[in-house]
Amino acid sequence: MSAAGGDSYGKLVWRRFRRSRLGMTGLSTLVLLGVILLVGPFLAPLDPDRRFAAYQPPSLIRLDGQGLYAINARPTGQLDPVTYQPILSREGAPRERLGLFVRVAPYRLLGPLWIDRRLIAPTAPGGRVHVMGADRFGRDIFSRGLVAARVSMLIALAVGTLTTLAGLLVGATSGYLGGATDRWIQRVVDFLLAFPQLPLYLTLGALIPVTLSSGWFVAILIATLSVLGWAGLSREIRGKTLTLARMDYVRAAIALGADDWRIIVRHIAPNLMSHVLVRFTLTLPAIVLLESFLGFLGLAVKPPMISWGLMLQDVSGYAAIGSHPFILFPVAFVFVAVFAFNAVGDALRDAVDPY
Amino acid sequence: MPSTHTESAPLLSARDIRVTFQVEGGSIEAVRGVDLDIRAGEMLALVGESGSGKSVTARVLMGLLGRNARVSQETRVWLDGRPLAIGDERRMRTVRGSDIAMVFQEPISSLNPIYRVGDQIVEAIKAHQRVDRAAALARAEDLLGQVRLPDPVAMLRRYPHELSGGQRQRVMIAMALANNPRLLIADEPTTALDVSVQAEILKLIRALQVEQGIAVLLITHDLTVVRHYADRVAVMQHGALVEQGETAALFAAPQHPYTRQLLAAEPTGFAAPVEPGPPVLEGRAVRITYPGRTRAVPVVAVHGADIMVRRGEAVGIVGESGSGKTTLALALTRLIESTGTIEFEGAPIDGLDRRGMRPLRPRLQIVLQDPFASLNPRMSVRALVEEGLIVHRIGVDAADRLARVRAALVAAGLPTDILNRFPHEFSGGQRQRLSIARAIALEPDMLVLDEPTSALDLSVQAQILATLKTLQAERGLSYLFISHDLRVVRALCQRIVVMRHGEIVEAGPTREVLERPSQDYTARLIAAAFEIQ
Repeated sequence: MSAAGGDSYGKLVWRRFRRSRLGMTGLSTLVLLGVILLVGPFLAPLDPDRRFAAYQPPSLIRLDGQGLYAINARPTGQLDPVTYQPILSREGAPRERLGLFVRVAPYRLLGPLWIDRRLIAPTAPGGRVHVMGADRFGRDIFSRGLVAARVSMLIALAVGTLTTLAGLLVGATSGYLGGATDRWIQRVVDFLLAFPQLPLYLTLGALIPVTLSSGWFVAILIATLSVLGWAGLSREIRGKTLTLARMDYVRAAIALGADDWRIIVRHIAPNLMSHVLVRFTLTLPAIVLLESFLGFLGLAVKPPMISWGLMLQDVSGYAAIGSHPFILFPVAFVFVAVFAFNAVGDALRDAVDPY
Repeated sequence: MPSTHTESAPLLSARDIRVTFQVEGGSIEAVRGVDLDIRAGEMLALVGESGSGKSVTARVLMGLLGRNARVSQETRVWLDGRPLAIGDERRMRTVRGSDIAMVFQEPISSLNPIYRVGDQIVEAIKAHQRVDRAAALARAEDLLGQVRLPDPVAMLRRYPHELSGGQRQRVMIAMALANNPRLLIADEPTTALDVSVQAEILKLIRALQVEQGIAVLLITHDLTVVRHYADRVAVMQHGALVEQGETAALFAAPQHPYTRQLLAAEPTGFAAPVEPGPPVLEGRAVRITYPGRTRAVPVVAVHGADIMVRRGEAVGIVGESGSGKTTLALALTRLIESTGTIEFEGAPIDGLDRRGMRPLRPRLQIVLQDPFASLNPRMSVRALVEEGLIVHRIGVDAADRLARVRAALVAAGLPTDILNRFPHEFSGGQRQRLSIARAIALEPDMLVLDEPTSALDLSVQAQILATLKTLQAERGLSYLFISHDLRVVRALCQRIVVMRHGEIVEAGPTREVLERPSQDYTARLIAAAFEIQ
């Protein structure tokens, strides 16, 4: 008899998942991401909208007898003879003291919740520390990245949920009913899968008025990505359903007298769920990537909203990357999120289907 | 037989074969100290039920175990007096396919579908012999002749999909013989084949063994095969050898209780006659077609079958695979569409759709063939057996339904402490019982059983047959019992229906059909099942 004993399916999956080191690393990263989503502004050392000097390189962060301090680069007063940019140097710069739970001006943490503390921040009023440098308006990239996670993940979760639900519903219906219904639904799916998406995004970028509010823009983005995104999953679900509907246990249920609804809910859906769950975890990183990529193309949320895509808009100027490579740091956020979801998705896929 | 091999010096000697498998949460001892001796030119049958370690033992000799297997340091194997480096993959490769060759259970997956038969045999030859292609082809042709395949030259140019199952297994045997092996290991070589083909393949192996003086290690669970073909028998249980001896002596006087139990489990005798009641399930001119691959011609699976089951009796449907047995059973239970008349307890049901059939379902139940596919892997035992009760609102409350679930489990010979477990935790036999429990929980009048014992070990098969007979006697249950095994049908069924190519070719009382078959086809099936050398 199997070593699994009388465990439930969930326990079995968890045990197999736990054995995957990559999956567990991804899961811990996801937990961290969850914390960032909840209390991102509190973790951010600076107000994400506050402007300092433009294109500040990352600060050096050190520890001495009195605690943490940062050394920021400052202008030497000289200009680069070729580019006429001010030359910065950390030489002789003062130590910028960092403290825990530093009191700052009150800011909105989440919804109606306002607080006036930051986890780690410069103790001196007006002090600065740039873990990842500052962007072209002198805003702290690290702080912005932590706050931007909310909008990027909101888009990813919304699109992921909508496409998964639509794909599941349409795919299962199409596969279970079969016949003419199936043929028509599949032609729509073909159309969507064949649709050239890149020109559409570029057109959208040109069509959407600049004055449109950020809320509306996010809604349109979510709607567009969802409409285009469900087709692939629905095709997979249809295939799975076709197979499942012909399984002997479905036939056995018919022989017991079960109706369509019972067969879909009790026999087909539970056997699709593991696949859907895995697909969901693997869809999220794809959307995070897509959002950042669309931002790069100019189709990003409008300030004061911040998303990783918006932050990457700055990267489109080659000259800026050449002189200030640190402005690529928002990529790190995208990378970590994508890695975490992919790792969890892969480990989950291995864990859900042991037989 | 060469004079160097005497009784005292066996061709292959194995001492203390021990294998452990590393599995999730520990390890399993699959073989615990087996000693084997195979003399040149003899056929040794290794018998035992699934999980007894007989295949693992054979794979040790071939060095074909998976990565999670560990062969003990104590295990020693000698071939012709020379020690065999069973742990050394590189050295075993020169032995495998050359001195020791193997024929597998599944001839369909053992041949590569994209190469011609000739090329595959040539490859097997050139792996061990330095010969050119022309010589290897000539040898391949010779081998195909040896395994009695008609027109070897044409056969060389065929692809595996152009061959029948029996022909493929002959090709596999030809490949095994390619390098003049001293020992041929045949692991359930006929399980995947039809009964009439099984006998031919076994006769072929026996003939080759005698002609070429090869030793054969035959792994099987079929005792009839053992009795007719093997010189000696070794019986395994739980990874250990419990008894071995000359075939005739062992069958005449089994010493170990397990051997006796195994022999007693063979289905024997005729079913007790019953008082025939009114017809329960009757089909007239039942015809089933499938749409063809091109739209033009539909494929006819069953051409106008007439069949009737009376209350309290068991009717067996026998025939080779592809003869339409399962299709007919599915049509009679209205799980697939058909034309013709089907009556259940006197009322026509052939026009009814799924909704119309629903009130009749509790009384007309079916147990499907594959116990692994017919249980939803995400449902617990309780949910599985309870489903029909919920669908038909049988039982006053949850407690009553639970009592009925327990009763059905007991009736199917299962314990009642498994309610919260899931299908993957059970063996094939236990799953088949779960399927039976699910059907009898509804207390049907008529039960259709599609090969309910074909995947099972003999002792489990005997238990299930006993369960079915009890239910028949206690509840007046009628059965339509599909099987390719005539011995099982003889033991359970009062009447027999013989099918071939979608047609009923013969029907009648079991004893009459078995003793005086009117068709050659029936006679062949009978000969294959009960053959006496």
